[in-house]
Amino acid sequence: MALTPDVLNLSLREAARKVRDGSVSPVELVEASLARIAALDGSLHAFISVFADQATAVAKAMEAMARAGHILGPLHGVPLALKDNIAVQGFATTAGSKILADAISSEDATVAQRLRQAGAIFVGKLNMHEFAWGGTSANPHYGTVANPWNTSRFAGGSSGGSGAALAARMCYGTLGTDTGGSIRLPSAINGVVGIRPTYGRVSNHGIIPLAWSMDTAGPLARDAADCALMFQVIAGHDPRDPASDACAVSDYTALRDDILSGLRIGVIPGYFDAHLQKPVHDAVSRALAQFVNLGAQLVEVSIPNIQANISAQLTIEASEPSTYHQQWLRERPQDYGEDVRTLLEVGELLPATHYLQAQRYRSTLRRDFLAAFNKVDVFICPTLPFTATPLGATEVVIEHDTPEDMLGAIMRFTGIPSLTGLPALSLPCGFDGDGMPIGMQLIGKPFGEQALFNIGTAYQAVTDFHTQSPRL
Amino acid sequence: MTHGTNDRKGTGQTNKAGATSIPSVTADHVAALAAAVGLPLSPQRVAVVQPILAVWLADSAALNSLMQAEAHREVVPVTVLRHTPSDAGDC
Repeated sequence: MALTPDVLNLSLREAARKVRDGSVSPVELVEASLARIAALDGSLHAFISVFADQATAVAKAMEAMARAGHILGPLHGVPLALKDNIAVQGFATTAGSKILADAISSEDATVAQRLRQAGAIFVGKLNMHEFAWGGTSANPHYGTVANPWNTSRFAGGSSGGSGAALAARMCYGTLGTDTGGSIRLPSAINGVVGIRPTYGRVSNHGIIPLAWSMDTAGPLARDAADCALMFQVIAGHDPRDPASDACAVSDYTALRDDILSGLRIGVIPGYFDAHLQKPVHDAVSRALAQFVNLGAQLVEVSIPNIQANISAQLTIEASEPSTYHQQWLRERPQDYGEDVRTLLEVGELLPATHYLQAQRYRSTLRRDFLAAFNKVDVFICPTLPFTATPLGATEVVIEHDTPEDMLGAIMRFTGIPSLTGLPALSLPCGFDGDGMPIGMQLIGKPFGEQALFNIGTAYQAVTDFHTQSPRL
Repeated sequence: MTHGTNDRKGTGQTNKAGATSIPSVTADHVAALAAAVGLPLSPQRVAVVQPILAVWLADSAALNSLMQAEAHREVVPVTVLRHTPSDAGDC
């Protein structure tokens, strides 16, 4: 057992505050983080690379700066880690692949640059599903990411290392990317908080793409307030990203926990509450009841043809990556893992008309959700219909002892924000009988991240799921 | 691994909307499609791809039927081009 040094149990906000007031040194934080990684990553496989020398050198410099009263920003001296499809200057950006194993980045991705300017110290790059095209983080090149709550279970993906490293207290916050659910899935599975931003809110510049029309980047953290702090740093317009939006950035850290009275929570009977493992159903039902007890009201909404979202998601998420990978798939097919190679080959053979019908469906789904937001303030549903499966599983049993395909099951709820471009926050809301975390998904209005952080903070003020940590 | 929204296999089927009968996708179809787009697929790869493609095509054909409805005739895909003020210059 590797005991967690007390300093690693601090929240990101607490760690940053202690650095500012001089009660903790960035060197102490980085040393604790690196020691934790060294102790645990042999079994978790959360990291692809660890920047021990650079992180230590930067921590010493930041310690001196803090002593001199020079604080770079709200993350000064705090160890973070980034998914390995996000460029960090001078280091490889592998995207979890063999193909990009030696691809040294010449500049930071915009999100990395903003974190660095805010004072963050990068301790390494995180493992992931190869090229982010899958939800298990069973990576044939860098090892399968294991779940810190039970290392025989999967950590989700594609940002599996981002979820596992955070839950295992290896650092204070991580960045992931989310196309079809790749931040929210590992957040739910590992018992942490993660947000998929409104499409265009956070720059994708310097990030290896999966599916351009749905790709986003966002933070994972231990609670909603930490997540809001990281989001504050990375959100905002970037002229280098053609999809970046110029909409003004809110003060996400001005959190309120008094907003539940009168909050209108949208639920979709027959979809949000159907086809779930029982512990998931019960945990989300309890959370909704708790919101009602705190003054919120549930509003039933009907979204026509919502069940078609999974097919639309698969069609788009298959077609766009196969376009990006077209040359490598012809020249280096043997360098892909079997599952990703297969998905890329399938995606090459889907007709353009099917892709465009899926893109037309997105318009209808988005229109219907925007109309529904005249009646509700937020939608709440499970993040996933199931909890962590055994490592290596490609199917999952949700009901009636019937195995079904993992990819479609993953996308049942996470696909809705991906298709509509709406922001979505995954919060821990319980555990199953085996002690595995359960997450719920809050879906907000476009650029409504602040409301999601407020609701999350209000919920976490009266629950303790987010304060629990795995025994490692 | 079926990689679909259900566990159907790639044999001839009727889609969810019930409106269109989908012909089965055979290994020969997959091989011909791959050749047409210049994607080298060995017979072993064709055997891996065929059942997944069959399920995905059937599911997306159901979506096609949905989107062919009169009610959706005016729906534009989300891939439309938008100009920003900075693109517009002096206009």
